[in-house]
Amino acid sequence: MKPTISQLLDDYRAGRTTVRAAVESSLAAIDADRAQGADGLNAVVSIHDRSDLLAQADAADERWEQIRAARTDRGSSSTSQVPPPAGGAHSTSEEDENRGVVTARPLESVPVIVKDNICVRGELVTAASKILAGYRSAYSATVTTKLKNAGAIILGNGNMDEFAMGSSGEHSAYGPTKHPIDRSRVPGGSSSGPAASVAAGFVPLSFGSDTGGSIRVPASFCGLVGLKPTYGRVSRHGLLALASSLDQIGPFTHTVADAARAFEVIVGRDPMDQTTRTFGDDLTGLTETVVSRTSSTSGESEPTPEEIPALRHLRIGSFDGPANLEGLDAGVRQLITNRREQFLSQLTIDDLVDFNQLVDTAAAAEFLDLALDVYYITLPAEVSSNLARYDGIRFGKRRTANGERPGAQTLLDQYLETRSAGFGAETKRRIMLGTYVLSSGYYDAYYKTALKARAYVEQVFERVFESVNILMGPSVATPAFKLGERIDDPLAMYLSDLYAIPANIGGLCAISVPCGTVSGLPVGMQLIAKGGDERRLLQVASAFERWNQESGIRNQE
Amino acid sequence: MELSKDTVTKLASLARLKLTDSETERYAQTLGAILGHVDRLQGYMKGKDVVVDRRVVTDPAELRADQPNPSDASRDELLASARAVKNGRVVVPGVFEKRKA
Repeated sequence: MKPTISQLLDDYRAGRTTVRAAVESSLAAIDADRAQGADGLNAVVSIHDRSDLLAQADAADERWEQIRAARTDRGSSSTSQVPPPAGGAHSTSEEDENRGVVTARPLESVPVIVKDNICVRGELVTAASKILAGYRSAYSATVTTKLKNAGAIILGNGNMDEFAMGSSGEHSAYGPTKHPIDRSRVPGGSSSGPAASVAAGFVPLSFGSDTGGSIRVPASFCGLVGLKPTYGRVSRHGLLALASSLDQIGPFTHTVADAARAFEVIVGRDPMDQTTRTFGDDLTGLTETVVSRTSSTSGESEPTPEEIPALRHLRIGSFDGPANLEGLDAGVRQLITNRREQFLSQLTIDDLVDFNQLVDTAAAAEFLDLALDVYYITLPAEVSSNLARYDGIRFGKRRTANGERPGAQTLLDQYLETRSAGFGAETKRRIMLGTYVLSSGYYDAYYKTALKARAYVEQVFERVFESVNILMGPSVATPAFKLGERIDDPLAMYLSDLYAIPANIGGLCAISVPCGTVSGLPVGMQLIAKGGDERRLLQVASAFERWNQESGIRNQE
Repeated sequence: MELSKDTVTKLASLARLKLTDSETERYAQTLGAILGHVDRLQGYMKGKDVVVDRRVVTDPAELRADQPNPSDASRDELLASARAVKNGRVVVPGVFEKRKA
């Protein structure tokens, strides 16, 4: 079992491990993998200054000394409760924290990997693109500032598909990321490195970005929990933009409780991102409401469904696509159907609402395809515009040491040369696709139609969420596929995101939770809720996870 | 559906990309295949009456004040991200310089 955030915090709290030991062990695991070169997972592409990381760890250890001392001073009530015996399955860490260990911040001393498109001031950030080779950010993303304020120690950057375009992790200037369970397979993308880093046990927490499945697809493939928040929940300031109207940052973790903890740290309105906004539920105390129902310490009686507010009057709908969907793996279909049925019967819910019957039949048959088409018009359009800034002047490695401009070039020559040499094949493809759909004469047929269809998708979901609270279905149609299998067939690659994309287009929140394996490879259940309804989403996901575990299905192999 | 090579060349030029012949050929196929897929969207939307009301910012009143904020990044730090710098300024090729043959 790889340690969860909760377990690591317990270990720190009880003095079973030091932060220095934890950080050194993470770095050693990453180094060992990197030393294998092409045979390794290729999950981490850059590591922050080591002496600085170790200094942070030592400072954190001193802080834990103070936290423990403060707790001892405060009396016996908390100390007598902990620690649970080493190797104990679950913890009471959250309760301890509630009792007033105020100085332990939510992610105190937790080692973290961020996707290579999330900025940390002074550190490399390249979006796995040659065009940004050597680029160091002059500022920190709001998310990374929040992480540091919450105590996290950011070790470095995870590999990814270049500029987050891809579903497999293969479109990277650093080479493909490998699947931690089977190195002949892809870990899923585009947040391939962050996912592989948690799945391989390098760190208990990482962050990716999800524009059309880039968190949920690798979470499903790697057997992790992956959360895509509602658009507007998490600041995009300091995230290298892919499609600005769709991008969201979210966590990879081993458990839903950990995801809630990480998510609560990064949410909130940000003056630096005017698309962040407030929702009815500001998510205060989210971690407790999710965690208290998942930490099933022995001796504590399990809450019955009636005792969990989110599970009362719950209406669950299926989200499997049309009945005859090509490309949905038979094993995946069966697993998803079984797990969902079992979950419903445990919740004593009699009927599963069929998404396809909520929307009219004709519309249901083409709904996933329609959303996919919206995505592959909207996304390239935004990409072609967002990536115009990479012109060889403002970003990227200096070509000459003395500051002289390289050769006698015109401005146009410099654009052409920088961009042609700097962008990978998939990035070029999408830039040109975006250029096409935005060009005069085609704009109405493509982009305007896509805007209209996007509004339609939003309206369909609005209607659907009047009848159900949660949709459940596969995160991806297949388990992890082989390296190279889809690299030459962009359409086949795009279909990997078929189930994930509607949540982005519809402005919803969604999570992938491991629900078992097909042929030894993890498969994720996707749960979708309406925009802003993360509390319910996480509570139901956590109940699903717990009942899965009771049925002997573990999050980790 | 396949795009003509001329169209691909034109797209590349608009997108400030220079393609090799084999790239042009490959993109003519793959771009054509993708466009063939997304072309169905107009058909899907036929007869669906939808009002588009897209606002990126929900409430303009919530926009932050239009005031300059000091940056804590130094000039050197900011210039360090540019590819070529001389005398504390970013070096850019002349816009109107003639191409050398």
